[in-house]
Amino acid sequence: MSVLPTTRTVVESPRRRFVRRFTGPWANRFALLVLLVWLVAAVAAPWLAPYDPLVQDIDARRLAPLSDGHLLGTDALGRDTLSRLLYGARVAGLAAITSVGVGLLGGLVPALLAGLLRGWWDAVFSRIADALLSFPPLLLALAIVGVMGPNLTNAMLAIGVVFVPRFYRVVRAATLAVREETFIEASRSIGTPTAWILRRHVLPNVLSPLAVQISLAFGFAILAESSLSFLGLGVQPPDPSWGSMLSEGRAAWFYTPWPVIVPTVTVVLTVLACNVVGDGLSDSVGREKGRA
Amino acid sequence: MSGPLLQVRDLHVSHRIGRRSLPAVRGMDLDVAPGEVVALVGESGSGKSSAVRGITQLIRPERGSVLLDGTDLVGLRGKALRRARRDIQMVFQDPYSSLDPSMSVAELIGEPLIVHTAQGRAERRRTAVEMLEMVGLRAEHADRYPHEFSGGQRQRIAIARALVLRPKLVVADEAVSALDVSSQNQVLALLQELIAELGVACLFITHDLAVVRQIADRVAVMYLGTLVEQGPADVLFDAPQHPYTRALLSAAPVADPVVQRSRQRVRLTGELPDPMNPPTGCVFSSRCPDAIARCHEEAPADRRPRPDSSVACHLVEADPALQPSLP
Repeated sequence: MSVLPTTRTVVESPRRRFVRRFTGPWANRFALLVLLVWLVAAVAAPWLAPYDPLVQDIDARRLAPLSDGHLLGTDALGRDTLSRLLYGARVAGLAAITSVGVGLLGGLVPALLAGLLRGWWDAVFSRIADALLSFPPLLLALAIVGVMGPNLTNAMLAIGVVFVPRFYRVVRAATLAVREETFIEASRSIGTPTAWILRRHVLPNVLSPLAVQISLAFGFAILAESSLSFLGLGVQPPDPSWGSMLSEGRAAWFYTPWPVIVPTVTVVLTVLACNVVGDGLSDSVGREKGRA
Repeated sequence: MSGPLLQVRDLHVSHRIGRRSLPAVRGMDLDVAPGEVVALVGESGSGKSSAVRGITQLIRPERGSVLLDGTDLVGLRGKALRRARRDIQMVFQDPYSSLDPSMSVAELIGEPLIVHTAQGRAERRRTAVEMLEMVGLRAEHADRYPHEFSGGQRQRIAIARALVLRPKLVVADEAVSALDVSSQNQVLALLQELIAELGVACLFITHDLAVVRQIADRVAVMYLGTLVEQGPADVLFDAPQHPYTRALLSAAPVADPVVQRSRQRVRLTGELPDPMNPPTGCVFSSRCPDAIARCHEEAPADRRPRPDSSVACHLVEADPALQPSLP
């Protein structure tokens, strides 16, 4: 039997191709850098922060950035803005991870089951998802926080519930597309148990659209945590959060804009970075068909 | 000949379309002996693929039995069914969608081993490489992904996957019809060589008669969910009994233009009837050029003009010594 020559000699695994395509555009690299910086800030806040974020210094109130050992200035109570920002990153990151986790926990498995098995599962889960989707996200979060009391955990739970139907929708749609592929039937014909098929064939193939959703959800979660904290429904004073910093600085906004500008820029930049990463992911995960 | 490896009796397979059910296979009897290559032929919509899915339990048959080595697959569920699948592996029509794009070639060939054997990772890889070489690919292909291969190469990978467990029966559903003609011949020759070498029986589904002539020991002709004729390949090609078989054979062109021009062709008119509303009497009666009044009233039983063939037609004389029908 003759051996057929292959057209390509360099072997590029899907993972390596993905990395190459994702790190191409400068915006993607920049966004990744921003998120990395915040990740480091969140993890290492106690070591990085120059001051205790809660300690007030009556002699150093409303300082402008770059003055007197306060790199980003101080707020109306004399607390160091940089330190509060770094600790705020912890809150934002925790909020994002927990809410996305809750969203995945509630959305992923039902979506895989509904997509693969259809029928009764699909009908029930999809109606629940539709009902959840018909609520405006922040209103739903407000309602949950209103019932369960204002604190960060409840706020994160609330945001997670908002994600459930969105993750569900994306994963279900991807599963529906994958289940029609012959390789699912082929695997069944081999005798592979359903749980294995889900894990080895369905999950890897729905991961790409899910990864896009997760990074977009991260951005939304950070924004939502800030909004809820701004409204006084998330992190409670005196603990620092980007949203509560904003609301505390609001009163003296005309005299000292810095305590407002710094967290605002931070939120915008971070959410933007999440969205850019999400877009970058969706551009680079596309499967190469290679039918030629 | 020893007893049959695969024994299909009175197989009925239906598809559900909304509330209605579409009968795709209606009472099929088929035997495959160990090591034998049986071709199942018929035009599109005749129920070939449904029959295959009924036999391999990818669709649960409505009725009938599928005995593989004496075990009825139809009754099996869950673990018992999965275990039985070890002996009956499939090659699918489209090698572009039957291989998971997220798995490397070694993983694809190794998947049946994970399911059915206790082989460790290194051992699975060794076996996969062995199989790759067996189907004419090289060891260095093991870490590539399906999208890097041509259609013919992918179908080789699919064949390696189907044979890695050394099953007793390989069911090939139009395994070469998605390929271009040159790789068709190569893949077909490879499949033929391997099943002969390993002593695997093969149920080969196709609509291409040239392929049948090349590979099959026996041929079964399917029309509207039933088998109208089956017999040894050479007998069936030289002396087709059923009018539908004759029409099918005469529809296939002959490579010699002189012969082709002078051939007496049996032309069929009309379309395949609606399976939800089949003709009364013989299924072929609505298109049969030789139909008589009886054909429209009474469905013909299988009769046996020779000990190794059977035909469902009122016009065929059975060998009186061989009645009544199949054993």
